[in-house]
Amino acid sequence: MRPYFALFVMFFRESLAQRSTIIGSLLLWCLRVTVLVGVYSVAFRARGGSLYGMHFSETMWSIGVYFIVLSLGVRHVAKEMSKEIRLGIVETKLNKPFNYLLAMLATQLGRGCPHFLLSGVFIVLVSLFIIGVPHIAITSLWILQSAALLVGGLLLALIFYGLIGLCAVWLEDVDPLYWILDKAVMVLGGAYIPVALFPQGVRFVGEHTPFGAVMFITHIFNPDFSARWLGLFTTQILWFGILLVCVGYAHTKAIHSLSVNGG
Amino acid sequence: MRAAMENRIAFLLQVFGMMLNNIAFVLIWVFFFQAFGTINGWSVKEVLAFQGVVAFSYGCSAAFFQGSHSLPSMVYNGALDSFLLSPRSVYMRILTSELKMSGVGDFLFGFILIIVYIFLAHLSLLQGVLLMTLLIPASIIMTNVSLVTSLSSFFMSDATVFAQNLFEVFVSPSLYPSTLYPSVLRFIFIFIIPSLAVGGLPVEAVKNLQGQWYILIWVLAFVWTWVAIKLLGFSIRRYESGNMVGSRI
Repeated sequence: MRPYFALFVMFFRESLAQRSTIIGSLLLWCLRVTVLVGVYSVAFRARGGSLYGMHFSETMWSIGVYFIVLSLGVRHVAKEMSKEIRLGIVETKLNKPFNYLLAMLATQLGRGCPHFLLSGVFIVLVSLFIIGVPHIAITSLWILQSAALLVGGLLLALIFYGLIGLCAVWLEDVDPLYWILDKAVMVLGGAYIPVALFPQGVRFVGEHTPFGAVMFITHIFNPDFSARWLGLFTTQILWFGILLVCVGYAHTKAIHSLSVNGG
Repeated sequence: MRAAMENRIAFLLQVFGMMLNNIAFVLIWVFFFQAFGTINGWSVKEVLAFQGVVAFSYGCSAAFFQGSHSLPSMVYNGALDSFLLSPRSVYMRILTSELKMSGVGDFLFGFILIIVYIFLAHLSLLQGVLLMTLLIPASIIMTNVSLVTSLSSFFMSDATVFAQNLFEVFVSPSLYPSTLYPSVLRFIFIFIIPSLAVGGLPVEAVKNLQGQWYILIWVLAFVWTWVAIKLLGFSIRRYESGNMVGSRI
């Protein structure tokens, strides 16, 4: 674990030193929260205050949580892997005595942590101040269930985006594949509209595919969360297992197929 | 463009991949209006229209004027020198210095959405023509605001990510239905950050034949072109050569 922790600390410090990037990210969160609060306040007022058991406050908290987790940037693992494979940098990492995927995770978590902490504090404070406390019972069980879904989602995201990154060995340019799959996560993960407000068919797809499973943390403010928690967590574990096998197979194939660019 | 199209498969993957990517934003608002119903006269049809305008104007800007987005890396790498030595307009040389193939996907996707909206909403010939003509100032505004955000690279080192975030600050509000904005936010996103001018405002202008919005969008296009040229001139005075040696063919 020491090499991964060292990587995490190194990239955490590097990310913290890039103040203009952090300020830019914070401006963006400011704007997104402001716009979404404005848009949803108008929408909920037109619908009498609630829809499918969701109120304005739960909707905004759900979307806020999505953006907090997004700021960690685990999805960038795909682009980083693709870039390293295209540039040939991957050859210097494959012969190291640590797991390449875990090293990518540690790197990305280190880079994303400052953004995650800042945006987390900002979004939570703004939400408490403008939107208020969500109308749910915040118990220690709820906190544990949320933490489990968060960790499960992050690990699943690593495997999911790692698989996309590995495709660079065969596809050279994984950008189109990344765009499509990343947008599937955005839509089915509850980015701009919580999954609870989806039509039934789409909600079913969101709750049973890896695209939605990556962001099950956004379900924690749904009115039926406690009843559905076990099903959601089981789905995450199931997809984690399936994709882990796929990544293992793809990794083995990739090592044999790898043609290192740049000599 | 011809060089990129030599590798047909990669080109087609980029174009169609971007079109599929853009469907996500349409789907989000389709689900939103299916859940909330018609709000302030807007429904699923108008989603197609404003998403089409944004996609078209962004696609136009990226496909043909990608230089406005790539300026920060040019400044950081010292690649701007050759533009400054040329007798032609620096503004146009920067804008047309690069093309982005995926922008063609945005451009085509936006055009298709607008055509679909014209038929679904049963727009008159006048309304259809007005909507098409509004795509020109929307693209001009998108390109010039992108250039203005990229000028941050003259004032800080390696502003690539910062400039991208600033551009996102402009583009993000345009991806939301304009009639859902409270009046204070509408004012800000029309007159200070012209996001709605490349999103919902052209649709509002055409849907209800509101001449004042039509004229305003064209005025904003001229204003932002003037602002971009002036700010570019001011920023270039701060530029220091990176002494990068190379040739531009």
